[in-house]
Amino acid sequence: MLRLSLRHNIAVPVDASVVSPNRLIGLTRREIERLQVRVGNRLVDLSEVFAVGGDANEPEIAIEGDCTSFRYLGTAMSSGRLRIEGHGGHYLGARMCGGRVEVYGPAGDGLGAEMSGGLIDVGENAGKHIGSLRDGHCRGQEGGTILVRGNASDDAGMQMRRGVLAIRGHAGRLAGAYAHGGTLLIGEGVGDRLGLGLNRASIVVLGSPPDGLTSFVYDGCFRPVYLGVLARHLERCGFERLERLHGGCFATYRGDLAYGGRGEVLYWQASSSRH
Amino acid sequence: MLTIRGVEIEDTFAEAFAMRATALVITADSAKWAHIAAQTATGYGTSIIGCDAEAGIDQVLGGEQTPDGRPGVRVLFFSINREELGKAILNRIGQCVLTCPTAACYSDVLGEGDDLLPLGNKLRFFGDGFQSSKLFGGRRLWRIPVMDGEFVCDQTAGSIKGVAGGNFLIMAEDQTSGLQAAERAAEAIAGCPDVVTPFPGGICRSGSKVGSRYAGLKASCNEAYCPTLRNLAPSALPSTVNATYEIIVDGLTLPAVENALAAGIRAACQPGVARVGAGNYGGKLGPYNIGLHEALANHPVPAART
Repeated sequence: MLRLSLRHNIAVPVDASVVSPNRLIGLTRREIERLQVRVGNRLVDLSEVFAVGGDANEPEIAIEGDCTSFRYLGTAMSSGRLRIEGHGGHYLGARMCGGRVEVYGPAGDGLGAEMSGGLIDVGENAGKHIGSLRDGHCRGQEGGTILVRGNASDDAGMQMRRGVLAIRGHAGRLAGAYAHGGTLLIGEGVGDRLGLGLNRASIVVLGSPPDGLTSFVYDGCFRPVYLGVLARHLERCGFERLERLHGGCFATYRGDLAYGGRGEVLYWQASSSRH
Repeated sequence: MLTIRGVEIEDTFAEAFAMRATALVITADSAKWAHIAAQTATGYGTSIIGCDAEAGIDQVLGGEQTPDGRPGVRVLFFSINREELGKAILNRIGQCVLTCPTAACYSDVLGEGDDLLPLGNKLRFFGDGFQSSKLFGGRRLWRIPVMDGEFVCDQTAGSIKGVAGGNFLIMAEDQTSGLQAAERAAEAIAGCPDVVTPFPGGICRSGSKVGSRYAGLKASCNEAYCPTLRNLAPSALPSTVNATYEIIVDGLTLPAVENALAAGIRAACQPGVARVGAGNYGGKLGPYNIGLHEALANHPVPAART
């Protein structure tokens, strides 16, 4: 396993897109140390940022340190494993299409932006635009699974197309906005404007029902079979069992009627009476 | 001479052949409806001689063993090639599981490329544009609207090269003791993993030979094992035998079939059974010759389900 230990905290943004199993595996330690990363407005050797240890024979990288100011760790990775003990930085796992990213701490904005495969597992809270899209782009998450064991800020799953985004805690405002597919699961409450512009995607809320689904219409109370498969998938990925996915039923709202109305928002209910 | 509880086991072999196979898990809100769906989907699936597929129930599954956490049943299907198997499961799942209250259907065999059989990717058209899909970790599911909610099934089903036609013959002194022995054998095989016994109750009374004196008939009665023809045609039956039952086993792998045959033979060796033999065509029909003695030696204890 390749070990990268942050030498000291860095306040300016660091473009760390080179730090991905795809890029590093098979390189010698010297080659890795000489890779260039952008710190603020200058290019420096990776060895100035990280102390490099271990070897890169196996597709596994462990990063130690607070990477709050980092961007694009694990970007476009297609296989292997990236383990971060500390903050995961912004745009972690952006455009990844395979492999596994584990963060034993929080993650910043743009987590898993435009990812199309693989798994990202964040141990604590995540920032804005997770499973969403990068500036200037038009498609959010297109596959894979993102797990957030804490809360997520605004715009989670914005414009997502496929895959699973599961947030154990709360999600901020505009969760699932303009999503065209995929499944957004929120374990607790949600902010306002949930599912604005929703078309085809599914938003499942296990916590308190949100206010004002103004452009949604009540379908009925069901227990969709696919939620059982989703629950099994999440548990296989290492997510703690969500009891509410295994019982009760779901008040189902169809919408956003102003945007085609093919999406669905499901609220967990203990019984089938309409709330 | 090998005997088990006084029953002679002939030193012969069962001739089995390769067939394309798949395993599906059918789930429902209750074990009752999962079983109904599975039974219906595997109905009329005894022999490829006259059916589109050979099919049967492999295992009853608890909620913790199924993809959606509901009670389920694992069913196996076998057909001559991938195309025929694909057609068979599409028709059977479309007519028998999609229509069954609360039922859902999932692939239980991994496959890729040419090994994949169509399933949800064809059945989805029943949704007439209202169908939708979900992608969970590489598993694509189709949600097809039906009148009690949604029918959910995998996009495709994997298929593998299976083994069909593993068999043994229970030659008994009378019909009653022969049937009891055959029932015990079928029961023992039901506990073996990755196999099915596609005939009614797992038992076949009309073991056949290839061809017929009538043109166009692919199979006809195996007169050598029919007790009423003992004096009209060459007979393979000892003089004490008055009823013969055949147990036919299809499985996902050769060891699974061997294990099931060994378990079945042991269970069948009961009072009233004179001999246990096997059907073969001199090794000309199939690539797998399963020696009864070898199967019993290789599987002294039936393999347990995992």
